[in-house]
Amino acid sequence: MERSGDTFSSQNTSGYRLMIFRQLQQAVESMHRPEEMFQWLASLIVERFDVAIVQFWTCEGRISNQPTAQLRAMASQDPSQPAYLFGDKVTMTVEQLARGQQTIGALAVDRLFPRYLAMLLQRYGLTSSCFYVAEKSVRFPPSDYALAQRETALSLIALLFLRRPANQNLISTVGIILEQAIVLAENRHLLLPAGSGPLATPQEALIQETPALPDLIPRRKQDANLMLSSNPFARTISIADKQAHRLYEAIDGHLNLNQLCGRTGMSLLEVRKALKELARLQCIEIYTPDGQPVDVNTLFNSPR
Amino acid sequence: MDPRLLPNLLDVSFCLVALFIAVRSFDIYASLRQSRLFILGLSMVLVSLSSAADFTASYVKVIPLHTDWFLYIGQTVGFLFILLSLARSSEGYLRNLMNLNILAFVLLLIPLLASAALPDINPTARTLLGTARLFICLLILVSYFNAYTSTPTRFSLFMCAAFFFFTVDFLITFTQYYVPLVSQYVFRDGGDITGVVGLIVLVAAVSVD
Repeated sequence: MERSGDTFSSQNTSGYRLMIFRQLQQAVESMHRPEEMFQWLASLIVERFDVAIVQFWTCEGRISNQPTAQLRAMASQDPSQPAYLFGDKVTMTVEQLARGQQTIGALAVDRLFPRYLAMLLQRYGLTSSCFYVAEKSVRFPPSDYALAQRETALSLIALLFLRRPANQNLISTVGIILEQAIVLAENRHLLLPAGSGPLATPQEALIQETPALPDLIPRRKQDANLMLSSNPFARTISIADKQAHRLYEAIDGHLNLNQLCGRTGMSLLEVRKALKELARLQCIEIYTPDGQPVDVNTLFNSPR
Repeated sequence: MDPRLLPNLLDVSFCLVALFIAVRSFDIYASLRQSRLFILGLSMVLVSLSSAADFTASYVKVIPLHTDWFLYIGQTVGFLFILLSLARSSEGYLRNLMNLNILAFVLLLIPLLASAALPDINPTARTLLGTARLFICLLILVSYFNAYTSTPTRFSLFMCAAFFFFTVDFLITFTQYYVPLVSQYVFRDGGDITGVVGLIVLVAAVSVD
């Protein structure tokens, strides 16, 4: 039975849905990347629907032996909660959701996730979760290496963690919001139709020759002159940006950016920004999986 | 004058300077993760410990502590890892060197902890280890000289000078055992003074921006 003050009553959710859609219509005007939109949506869902953590994932439509799930955006109600911890661990569940028949669901965490993960979530008071899978013939624009070369359709997954039993009404509403957001993003060319032809500009063509961003492997740059001709204790550069520092800590010379996303719990957009900062500080070098060095300037001067 | 004054002064100075460099290296390594800094830090801990052990052994008379083994091996291995870290700068190489350095450090604690049980260092071992230490120090000097000639910086010049004094110190210390007994003190004191000068230049090198 619906109560008048219930956040998830059909009247309330439909009111919020309309309001969010109108706000999104305005906000999307100033956005340049789909991740910005998903981040905006995640933050708003957390705020309006009293959800502890909201994550937006993408998964490639093609059948692959390699995991393709990527965390695109995440928002957390409690900033002190180590939400990024869950990024890496839920990857396999997200893969299964994307490949499964069910496109919508609201379950207790112990019914959706492996036992150890469910226990971890419960320790943080997150007892239930819900998901919505939107299968769309869209790809991310060329400035994102991840999908520039991949013409297959994407599954966009909204994954919500809650402190109380999940409500079917909530996930339906989030699903509708996600579908509307995808349409808006397509209209604004933040998302492009899958198989929409070759990349046009020379710069894009250059990008196409570069392997996908998630496949690239960053390595810590060892200063060849350090201790030889430059004093190691003078004018040391410190990495002030927290995300850049976290990424730098996780770089081991073997993990690619996709794996680092999982390791750090950062979205690809956040990793890209952190990588750019590290490249600016000349702390890293980037290599292809074949071990070929990648020109960092070319990588980050791509069109946005 | 107390004949142990200069050697003790050198030991204490070496210990404190090496400890200062080690702490500073680890501090910067924590934020920058430059493997070379870790190797420098651990090597300097080794050098610092060896000097501290030598200093302690000269005062502890209850049981004879034969810390010369650790003094020679510790300083030789410490300088060797610094030299090897300067040889190449690829991440994989430095990472492997770091692991090796940690292993060597742990193994070197054995002669330190067992110094009471070890026999006094014999002349052959002293000659071999002294030669190795001298040779490694000379190679570091050559590395810094090469660095200075290719990119002249104040740091490489100071380091070059510091390792020149260390090389001279080790050379004099090495030759003191091959001169008449009366001249040995002159050689040893000369070596110790040269070592202290080397340390002052080393501190200047890492302090000057």
